[in-house]
Amino acid sequence: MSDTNFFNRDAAIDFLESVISQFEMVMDQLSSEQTFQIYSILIGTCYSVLQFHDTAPITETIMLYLRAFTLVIIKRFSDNTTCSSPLAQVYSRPLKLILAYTSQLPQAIQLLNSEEYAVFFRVINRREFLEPTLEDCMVPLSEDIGLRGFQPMDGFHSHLDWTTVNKITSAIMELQARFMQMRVLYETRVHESGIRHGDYKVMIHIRSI
Amino acid sequence: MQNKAYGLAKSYYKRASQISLVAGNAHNQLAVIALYQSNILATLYHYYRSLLAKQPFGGVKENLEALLSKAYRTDRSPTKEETGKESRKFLASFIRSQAALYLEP
Repeated sequence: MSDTNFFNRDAAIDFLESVISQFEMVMDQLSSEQTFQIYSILIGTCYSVLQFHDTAPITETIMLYLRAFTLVIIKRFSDNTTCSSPLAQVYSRPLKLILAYTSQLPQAIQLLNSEEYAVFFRVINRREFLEPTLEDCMVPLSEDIGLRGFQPMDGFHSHLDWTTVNKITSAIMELQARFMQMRVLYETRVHESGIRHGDYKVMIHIRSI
Repeated sequence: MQNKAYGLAKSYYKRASQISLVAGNAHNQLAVIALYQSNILATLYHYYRSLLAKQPFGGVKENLEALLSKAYRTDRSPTKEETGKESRKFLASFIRSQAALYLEP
């Protein structure tokens, strides 16, 4: 990871891609807990950094990262079709993190090719896969966010068990709230440092690590 | 031995964090235990969770900054208990990148 200027949008994205790439290379060596912790922090970081550079809450860039994370999971499940495998247990959590972005999930899925879609479709339909760790995420909704209905895209609706998906989506909204708070955290730090939002001339350098 | 000693405390703090989602106290305590066990990634994760709770733990911001400052200065590699050899470099880099992102400018 070389010097990175987070106030340069392209440099920030390059950096995040580098981190994600390195993460994918070592994730098999990490425990499920470590994987979950890194995913949580990394997605929050992606969200924070990218939102800093974009005016819209969800942008095409975010979509690309959703796709990247989705593909990581798909890739893993392609080789591990038994949902009770340890690896499946590990990746059930990141899948739920992706579901945190349910309102954007249909658009993200549209970026998948037919083969990827087929695998994703198979994975998400596994009730027995989704339920074992549901309790971990079964938390009350944030009052700030509230329950938002799911609006599936045409042609996708009939294939999914929406009761299960909505149940998990509702539970995971708390995590989404935390990601939003994390974005606020970073923006607050920028504000405290006297840098104007969107002032790309000011540089933040990440030293060589 | 150390893990066993903290196992019960961790389980109770985890339950506390699930019961009281708005309070960041339990996550701060989980971070402290993780720090005792030299698990920097878990410490970082729980400090974040504590800080981002609706009612953050009082001193968590200072705790987080102290952790990240140290990580930024020392470039410490995770212990054997945290991970295997090949992923240590990534975890060290990952934690340092968080430190740089949080502490700079």
